[in-house]
Amino acid sequence: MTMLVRATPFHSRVAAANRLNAWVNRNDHTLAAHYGDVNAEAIAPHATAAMADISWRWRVTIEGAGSEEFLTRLLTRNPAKLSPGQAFKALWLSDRGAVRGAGAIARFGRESFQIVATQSDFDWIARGAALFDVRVREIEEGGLAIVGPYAAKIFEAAGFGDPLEALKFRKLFWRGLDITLSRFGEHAGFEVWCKPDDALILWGRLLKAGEPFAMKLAGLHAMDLLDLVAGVPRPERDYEAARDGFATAPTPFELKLESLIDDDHLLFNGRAASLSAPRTRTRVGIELDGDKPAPHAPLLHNGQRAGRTMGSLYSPALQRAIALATVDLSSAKPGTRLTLPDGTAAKVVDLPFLPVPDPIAE
Amino acid sequence: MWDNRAERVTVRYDAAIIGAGANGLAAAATLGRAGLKVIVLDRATVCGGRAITREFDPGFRASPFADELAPVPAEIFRDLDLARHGAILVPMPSSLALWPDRRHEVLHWSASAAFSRLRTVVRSREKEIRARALADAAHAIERRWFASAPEPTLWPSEDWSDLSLISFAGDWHLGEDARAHILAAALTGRVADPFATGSALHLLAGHGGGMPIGGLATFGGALEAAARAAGAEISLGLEVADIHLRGGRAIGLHLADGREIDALAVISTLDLRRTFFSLFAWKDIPKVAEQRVSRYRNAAGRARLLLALDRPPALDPDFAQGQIHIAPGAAALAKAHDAWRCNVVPDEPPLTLRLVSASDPRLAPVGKAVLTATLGCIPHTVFDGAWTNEKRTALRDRTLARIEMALPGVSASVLGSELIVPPDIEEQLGITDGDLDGGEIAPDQMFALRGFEDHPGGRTPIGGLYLGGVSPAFGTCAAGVAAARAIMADLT
Amino acid sequence: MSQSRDAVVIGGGLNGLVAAIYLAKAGRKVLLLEAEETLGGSCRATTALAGVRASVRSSLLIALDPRLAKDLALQGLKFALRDIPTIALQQDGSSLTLARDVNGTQRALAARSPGDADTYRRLRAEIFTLARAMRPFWCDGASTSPPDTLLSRLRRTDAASLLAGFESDTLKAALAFDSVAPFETGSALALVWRAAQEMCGLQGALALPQGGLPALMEMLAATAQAAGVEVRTRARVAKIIADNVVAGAALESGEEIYCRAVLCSLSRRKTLLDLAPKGSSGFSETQKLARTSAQNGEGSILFLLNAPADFGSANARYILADRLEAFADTAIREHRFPDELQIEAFVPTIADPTLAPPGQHLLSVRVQGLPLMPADGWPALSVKLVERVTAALERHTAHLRARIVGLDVQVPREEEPFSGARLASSYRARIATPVEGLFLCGVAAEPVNAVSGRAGRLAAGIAQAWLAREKRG
Repeated sequence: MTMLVRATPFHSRVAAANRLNAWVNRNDHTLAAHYGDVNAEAIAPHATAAMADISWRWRVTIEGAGSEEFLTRLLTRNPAKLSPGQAFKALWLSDRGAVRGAGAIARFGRESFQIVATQSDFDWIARGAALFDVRVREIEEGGLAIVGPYAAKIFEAAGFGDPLEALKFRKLFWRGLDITLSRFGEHAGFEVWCKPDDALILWGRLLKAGEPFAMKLAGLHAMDLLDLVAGVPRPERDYEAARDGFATAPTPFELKLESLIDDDHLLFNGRAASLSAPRTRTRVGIELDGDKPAPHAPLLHNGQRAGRTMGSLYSPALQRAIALATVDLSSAKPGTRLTLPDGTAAKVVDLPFLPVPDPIAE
Repeated sequence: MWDNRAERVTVRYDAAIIGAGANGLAAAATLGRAGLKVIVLDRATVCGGRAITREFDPGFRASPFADELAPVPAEIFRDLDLARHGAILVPMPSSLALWPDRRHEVLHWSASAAFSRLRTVVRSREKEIRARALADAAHAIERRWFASAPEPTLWPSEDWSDLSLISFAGDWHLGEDARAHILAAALTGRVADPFATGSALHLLAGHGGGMPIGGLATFGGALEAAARAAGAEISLGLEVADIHLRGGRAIGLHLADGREIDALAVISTLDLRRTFFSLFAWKDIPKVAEQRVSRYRNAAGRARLLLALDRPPALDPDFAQGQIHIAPGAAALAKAHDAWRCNVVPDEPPLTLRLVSASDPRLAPVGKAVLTATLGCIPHTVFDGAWTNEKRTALRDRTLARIEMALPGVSASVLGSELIVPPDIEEQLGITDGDLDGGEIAPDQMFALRGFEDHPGGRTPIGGLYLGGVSPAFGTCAAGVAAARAIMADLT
Repeated sequence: MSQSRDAVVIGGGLNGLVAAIYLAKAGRKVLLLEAEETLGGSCRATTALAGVRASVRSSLLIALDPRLAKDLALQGLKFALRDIPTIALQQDGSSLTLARDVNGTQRALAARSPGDADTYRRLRAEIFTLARAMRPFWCDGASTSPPDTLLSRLRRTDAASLLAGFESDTLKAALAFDSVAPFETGSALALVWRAAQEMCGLQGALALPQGGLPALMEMLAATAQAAGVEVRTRARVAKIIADNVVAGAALESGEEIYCRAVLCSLSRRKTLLDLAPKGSSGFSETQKLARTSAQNGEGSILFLLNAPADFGSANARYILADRLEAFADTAIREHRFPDELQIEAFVPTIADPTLAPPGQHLLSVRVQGLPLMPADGWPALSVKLVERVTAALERHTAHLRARIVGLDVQVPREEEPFSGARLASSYRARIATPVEGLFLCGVAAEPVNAVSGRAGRLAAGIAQAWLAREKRG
């Protein structure tokens, strides 16, 4: 079955820069897989800065008198804690405690919220919202993310005003454009969202702001790799988010996302099940001895099955293939030596694989 | 100081390493991880050898001797966990060749199919060579009492010993400009006659290891961190006087301050000539070493001009971050080589520019720039005497003029500069003649013939003494790691 | 300010009372809330017919929990009739008797079709054997069903397919009648369930309690009072108060009652969608509940006659069922009155004259498969229902219309819908809800809708165990 695939609002600029004509689809959007050398794009967020088209991310607004009540039931953290302008990261679970989605939840107003995630879960959220008389609406905007140690300086150079703290956002009328600035990402950068019609202007201005800081355009491959190096598990690549309302897997614990659940939040969907689910495995980082990625491969500890890799890619910064993996707790200590079935050595390491670089201040 | 010899402190180590450059630190890290007690000594006050970054003008920094090192073999990069210790290497995005008549040829590595293939070929040969070097080292030498020396097996790419760069470039379906571009890329900061057989070996001499963010000092720092994490001791500001021999075997070091260090094995990361001529008393140099060293040739040719600019030159962002080769061409290269051979500074030495601050804005203040110029075929000793200020200024001005022709407006924006010529390199790094390759790249000095024949893996005829200095084609750190592995193999 | 109690039971019907009694006997402080003026639910005696002490709802029992009599010392519980046979009345006037005695039934069937007689014997043996194996699961609250290939197969079989081997349409229809929804997957199991029930020491029997259902309710009410259950009538619960665990119940009046556990005898849907806090049962469960609402239900008519209705010689339960296909009438889906009605009729006063004033008789009629929400609405339609039922019955019993002195109608009410999954699940799974401390104790917790009391007993047990674990200040 073919689905309608859309171009992002930045498409014409992306196409011009995509000299190798390397495209990939995600969430029904067409994106540049890489603009040139994948390795250089992958290293840029650790070295200087990179800009990526993130329009493909899924964003919905939740509005109505019952929004807070609904989100209290939906999310593993209590939205009552959020004041307007703030956001937090949380999960939402199936009735039986399986992870359905993860994202940043931002509060725009007393009865207005926004969810940003990497994978759509519209049916579930709309279905839940219907119980509470809340309106759910998907937003189509152009989004750009800038990551890297120079991101803060580029933010300043662009004229966005006072620095933005992590997990905060603000709407801004910036040199004639209505934009939303946020810092929801895991990579010490920031995001800018604009109306589709303003996309090309935003692109040009940000490129210009980033030029003195050696900012590179990064395609989807580089950004995916960045997520992996940061140790952030992503649906589709690393795990299959539950799509059955009564699914029991994956649990937040085997994905090591329990930090996104507040112990004192009692009302969220799937709580009882998630508390009583067995906690036998957790997520770790795996460094492979070699260049060849090994996604979704079994891992052996002393010949016994100890877990399974999730997503795996070659990291040019580390010059080796790396992977996220779920392994038994007994095999999860950093330094544990495991093997793949073909004999390749694998080592459990702390996450992130590489630390997020400090922003350059001076 | 010399009188104060009341305490003759002798400390025992498993291995003592002379030189805390990339090779020395890598060797130390390798040996330390294997559980050996290691000490690294360097007369400089900082680690890194040539892997340093210097503020050559207030607020402006650059790596003085090179912007990039030869690629570190992936196996070593992984084993030493260098990425985690801070070594982030930015690959070279592009290469631009510019001619005086403004003709230019850009190659984006990923975009040009032919260049991609070429690069793949070179890379795969480099990999093979390193694998061989490391394997040879790990192979313990059996004490052969009666058997004759084994047949030496051919090294990978030894066939290039018979190939000239021109022939090599001609084998590829490329235009004349493209071929000139390849030559320039192969010979940046080097000395070679592209028509001579064996000049193709320069391709293997290590290009494109990536520019460490923060300059080469970050890379040196990562290696230092790796060595310390492995438990190695690092002693800086300490010059080694000589190697202590007993019964023809190296058993330790004498330091300049009178102290002694006992070691089961010694690695010297100094070049061959300096190892034997500065670390041994004349009468103590073994005959076989003396013969080897007398045959050994160094060919210093690199000079560097570091420029602090008030504003970045107008460059198309497409190639602002890569190398820019000025007027390359086989004929020009051959002419420059001729001049060099006569110890004359060429009129138009090979010139490669890199706007390093475009890749790494940390190197210059905001809005300003650092431009490095790498020259090749610059002689160590000019025919008519030493490198006087006058000669330096002349070279600097001539170079600036050429840069101006390629990038108009640069001269006017120069705020400060530093010129480094081979004698400076010799003095600052303790390298014979300032030859950053550690010896001429010639067929009779490559691969198995680089050190001592019949002594693979950095071993020498002197028991307990190993050579771990720069060896082209091995890549950064590989020679040191090879020597370390040889020690591990020989000690068990 | 109400003082805190251990448990609140919502609904004063059979199961609610049973649950409350068991909890009280276990030492818990129990409050029972009934929305109407009197206890008893659908087992209440009719108020529309003077001197009648029967419920509109048929008093025929198939699944009364034998433990009730034992545990609750219900001395007064006696059976006026045990082991009532079923007679299927056909359009052409003939009839087919289905008794518990398999040999007798076989002989009767053999007269029409030897093949059917054979099939019947085999099928009955299979059903009864499986039924005995399932008893711990369906009657004692065991948490897992026995591993059995026949069980797995029947779980996925509808009664119509199971009975397809018979030649006689009447036999098919008659046997299918008791499977409630013969075209639903798993309805074959409903027949096994009936066979698994044991009352008065007989397996799969049909019985009539002395004094009808109202007498049973009076006994339970008295037992409850004796056990110390606090009872409040005219107290309709509007909401269950809970955060992640139950905290109490709020009445329509606004009064809030606090407790640690709530046992609700309403349907799963009503309990979790209407009473429990929004979304507290889980988004998927909520959607599932909203989706699966019952479309049809049972209606009951109680006729007061001045002379007994005579269908034949036997004191039997009569069912009017000619064709199996009648059960699949699309009318129900379209909220229309079906063309052919599935009718069960019984004359309780022959065996128990005390149910009606002297000289008068009752005719208890049950109609299956009526639309819950017909287009014209039930008050209007009940007239039509009576008309149709009377007409249908008159074909088999003369002068029915003339004998009718009075009647009371109970229109279909929403009950837990039939599903194979329900039959195959355990009591615990049906009693527990996603809200901690909230338990279902009514018919919704039974495998099949029936007057039983088992759900109340087992729910009380589960709630009691839960209360014992959750010692809260």
